[in-house]
Amino acid sequence: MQRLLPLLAWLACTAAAADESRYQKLTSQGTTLPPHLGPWACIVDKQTGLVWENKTDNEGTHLDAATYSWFDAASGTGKAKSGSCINTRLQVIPCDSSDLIAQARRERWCQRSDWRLPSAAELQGLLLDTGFIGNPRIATGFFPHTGRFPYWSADLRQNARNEYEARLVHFGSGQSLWLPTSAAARIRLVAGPSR
Amino acid sequence: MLTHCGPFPLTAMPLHKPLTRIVILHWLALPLLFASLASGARIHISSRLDDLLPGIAHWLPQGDVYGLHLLLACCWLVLASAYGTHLWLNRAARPYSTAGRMAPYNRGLIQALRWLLLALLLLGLAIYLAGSAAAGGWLLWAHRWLAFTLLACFILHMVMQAGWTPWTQLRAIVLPRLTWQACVVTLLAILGIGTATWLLRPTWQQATTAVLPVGSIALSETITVDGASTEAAWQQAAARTVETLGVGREQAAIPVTVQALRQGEVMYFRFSWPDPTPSLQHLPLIKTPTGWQIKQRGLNQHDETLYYEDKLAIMFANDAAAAGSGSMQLGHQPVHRAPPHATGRGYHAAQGGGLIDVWHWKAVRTHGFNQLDDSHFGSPYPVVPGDTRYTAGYKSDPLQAGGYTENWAWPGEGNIRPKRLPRDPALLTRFQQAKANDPSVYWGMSWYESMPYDSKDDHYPVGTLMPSVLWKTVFEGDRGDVQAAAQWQQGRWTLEAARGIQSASPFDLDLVDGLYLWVAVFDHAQIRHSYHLRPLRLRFD
Repeated sequence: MQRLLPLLAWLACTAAAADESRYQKLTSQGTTLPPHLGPWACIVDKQTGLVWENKTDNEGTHLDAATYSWFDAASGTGKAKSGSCINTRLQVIPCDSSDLIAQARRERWCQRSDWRLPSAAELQGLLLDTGFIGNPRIATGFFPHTGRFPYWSADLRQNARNEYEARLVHFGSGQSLWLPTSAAARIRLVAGPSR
Repeated sequence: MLTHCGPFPLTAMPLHKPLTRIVILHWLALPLLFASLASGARIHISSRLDDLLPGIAHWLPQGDVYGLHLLLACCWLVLASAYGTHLWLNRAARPYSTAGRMAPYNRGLIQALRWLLLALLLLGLAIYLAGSAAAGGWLLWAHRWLAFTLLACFILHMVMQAGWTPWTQLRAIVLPRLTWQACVVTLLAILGIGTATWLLRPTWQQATTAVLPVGSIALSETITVDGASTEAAWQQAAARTVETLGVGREQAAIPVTVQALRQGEVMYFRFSWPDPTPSLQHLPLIKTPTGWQIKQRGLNQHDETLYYEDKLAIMFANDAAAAGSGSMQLGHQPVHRAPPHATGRGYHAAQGGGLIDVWHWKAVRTHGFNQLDDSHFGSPYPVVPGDTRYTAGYKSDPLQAGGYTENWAWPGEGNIRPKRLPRDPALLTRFQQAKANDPSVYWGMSWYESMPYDSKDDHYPVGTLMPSVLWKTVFEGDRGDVQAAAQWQQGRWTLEAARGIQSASPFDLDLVDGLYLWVAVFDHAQIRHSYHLRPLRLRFD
């Protein structure tokens, strides 16, 4: 095993170097930033062309700890207003996924107006084992304020009782799970064409 | 019949026994000398924060250089003993030299080299046993300068030998005519002594390590973790003072007094050290005509030395190896394929898949939590993409929620955007009126007394000072396993800490009899801390 350690370390470093060039920071105005500068509002995945929302620990639209119920306002599917958000005036307000999407589109966050929930496959594409269980499974240097918690995806199904369930990807365990749309979970939005 | 073990076939007569020993001595001593000087130079550069010669640091050994230096010292002890025996067997002979008319001078140099090596070894042994800060750091100073003198004498010795009898002397040393018996005996001796040293190492370490008696107190006694130490138990508990030595040109010695008590399933520790200037101003923000800026002079290199809080680190390990159980990985890039260290001093990481439990008390950032920052040194962690600071094996233990954060969206030398402003501007009044090193003003504000920054709310005049530390809630999770509180009074910090003897966390060690303990003082410094080489060993009375 000890002989394998240098190899594993080399593989981890190689993977890290690859991820370093994979992502690109964007300001809220859509300007690119080099990896050592900040702050940034979005992250471009150069592998997929997708643009991801960056979270913050400040209260407001992009609060990392805000939780949302899963709701599609266009079709009325899911559960509206069963999450918990905090606005910049520090008021706690009920919210759902369609609220966050609408707000990000309204803001033209990072000059994009096609914000949406990512598919589970897209979210899983962000998973990265940093080698420390105290970290979420993601490139934390580009995606700070990611919790070791489940994040909603756009994947939807009906269970045996004809209730809607949506799929989540857990950034602590790396596993995915299905939960009723009335549950509250975190969200990281994505912009770009669905794969 | 003569069989040689040198690189070329030689047909001459074998050397006399004394000369054979001299050749073997040179073959063993030369690598030891170069390795000792190189590792010593790395330690010097790391602790003094300067370079001996421009660029030399990149050619010096990296990693657990203290361990290497001590291993080489062991080899020197063995070699010196063997050489002493050789001198005893040939006590009638004068130092051997073929340096022509310079022979008397060369013999003098050889004598000087002998005495210098002996002095270096004795000083090294004294530093090992008494600590780097012993005798006010003079032992270390003498060791350092004798090493430079030794190098100068060695170069002179080489020049004299090579200058007057270049080929004869060079051939005798580089292409020795040794019998195979001599080679085998030498190799067996090295292997035997090396194995014996390795096997005796734990016994030697244990026998020469200072002990910290841990008294037991009744469950009925009350100890409040407040840094005041007013309880009778602390007055009666055995105390040990560890002399730590700072880094930098001054290398100030900071003595840390340590006490420990156990009560049922809980261990209490008390640490006390002198500090005439309590530093509670941690990277404050100042409003300038162009915007908010961080008051700092080394933050960009992760090496702030002025606007920084006081800290104390306590390490626990199962192995007594010097320099934090071998966790000091010195050098500009001691971890293979990891980013170079910003200052070139190196990283912390445990060796061989081990774990070192680190308790990190931070005067401002952990203030009010009644906790310290429970951390650890593990094996070097992989580089995380985008991270601006790599810390090798050093990490805070996992956190579920809570803790502290900085009051900026992104740090920088120029203007920065604060993350938050106080909800009540009057909250900043006490910071404008605080005197330098005011022990009553902790430069932080509660997250819940602040609100997200909005330029519409930013009416503060130029020159306004604002804390950069935002306290959220107590650490929840592994990171909050240690209860702690500190007080500064009459020129001393006193820190009390408590934790369960057993821990369920994979990032903690059980606080058991025989565990080793080190301390390190950060005097208003981000990464520069004083340290000591040899630990205290907990002994449950």
